[in-house]
Amino acid sequence: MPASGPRSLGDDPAERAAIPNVIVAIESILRQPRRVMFQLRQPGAGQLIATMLFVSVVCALIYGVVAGTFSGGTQLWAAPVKIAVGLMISALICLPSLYIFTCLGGSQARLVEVSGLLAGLLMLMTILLIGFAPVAWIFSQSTESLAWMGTLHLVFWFIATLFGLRFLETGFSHSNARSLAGFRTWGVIFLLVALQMTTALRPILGTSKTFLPTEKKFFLSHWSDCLKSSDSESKSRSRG
Amino acid sequence: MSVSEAPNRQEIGVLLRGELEPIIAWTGWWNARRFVLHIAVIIVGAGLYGAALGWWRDPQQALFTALKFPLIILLTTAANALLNAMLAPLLGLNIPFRQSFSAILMSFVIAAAILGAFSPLLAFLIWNAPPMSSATPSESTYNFIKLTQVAVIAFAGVTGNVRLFQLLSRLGAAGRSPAACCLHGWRATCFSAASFRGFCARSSARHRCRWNFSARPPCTEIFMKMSSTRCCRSSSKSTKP
Repeated sequence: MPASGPRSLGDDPAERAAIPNVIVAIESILRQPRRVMFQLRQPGAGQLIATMLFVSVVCALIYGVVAGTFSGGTQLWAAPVKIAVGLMISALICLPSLYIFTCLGGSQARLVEVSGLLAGLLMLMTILLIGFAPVAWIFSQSTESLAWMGTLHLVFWFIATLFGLRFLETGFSHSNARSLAGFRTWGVIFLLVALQMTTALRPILGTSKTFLPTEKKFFLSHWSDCLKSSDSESKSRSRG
Repeated sequence: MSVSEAPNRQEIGVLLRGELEPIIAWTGWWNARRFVLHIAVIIVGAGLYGAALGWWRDPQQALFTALKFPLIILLTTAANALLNAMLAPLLGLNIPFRQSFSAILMSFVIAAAILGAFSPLLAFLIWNAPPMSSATPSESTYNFIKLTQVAVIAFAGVTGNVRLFQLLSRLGAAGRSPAACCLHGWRATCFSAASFRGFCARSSARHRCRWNFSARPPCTEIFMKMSSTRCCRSSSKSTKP
């Protein structure tokens, strides 16, 4: 019996209890993440993965409604659709490279388990965003500054993503991975893809005549343009 | 995973993880289904990457590059197989033809799997890039996309070579030095063959798409001119679609 070192998944009997529904899944990802990781290795993990994706989509839609209250109008339905769809597409784009990086790191996780851990990241991320939603709503009703609200939403999203990535990293550390360097590289790629997705599906906070943008831009260029236009607006207001 | 088990998709994970015991066992026995699986991974992985690569020009270019990229890899492997099998014992690695061919093929499978996994990312990058047209200043965007492609292909190639070196070190009983010599020799033959075939197959995202491999005679002369950088500058300036 090993004297020290991390416990194996499933050592605790509570981790071996199945996750039958949405409520238990939400509770488990917050309080017993090891239970989720263990259940993803069992036969029939597909149902758990589907549950986690469903929760992610619903939570993303709810947060999208809160984000859309800043501009109102069509953004009340456009923002939730864009946030939910953008999140799912970003995860789908990054899933193959995640599998590659985890294999290169020596992880024994199969593609199903990798997909499940990614679904867990999305679920944890969107649940935390729901927690930030009341704060985001208060600020939405208190300010008209697009740059400020955009920054606030990005900060919330970044914090939620960090917790999600921590869950993912813990999951892979239990799969005999020799190194997590590749996974951390993937984390940076995922952040960049998600950030670019917000620009590709703009506007999410502001208003526009079209559902999707007609001009292609990288996200740094878009942020720079937004900050410049916000700065010029505030200067013109101060002159007037 | 044992030799007697039927080949399946989990083998790709074994190759990527570099689990030497099953890989060495695979090189020792000829298995037609495993060979077909490896060829399929190269075609699909390199094909997807090639499609993403060519998509920036137009869909026809995506199709052509999706066909050419795997062909370059497969032709390089096949054409150099005999030469590499002869080089191996000369450089101190006494392995039979079957093992040398399998080892090189598996390294390309690893590279192709990585390229295929990164193809959605490349496609997303190109989707977000301004279109390639004379109206928009696309030089910096083109350079950025080219740099990204180089980075991905370099990553895939280096990973394939690292796994190949680990395999050769175990296959050869004489230690790492003969494995390193053999790897360098194989790299030289594959690099020269692949770069020449790639040049003959060229019709990059920048220039008008072509299907045929023999672009214009004599290819050798044009290849030599390109390596003197004079043609590189003039061809980068021709931006006509």
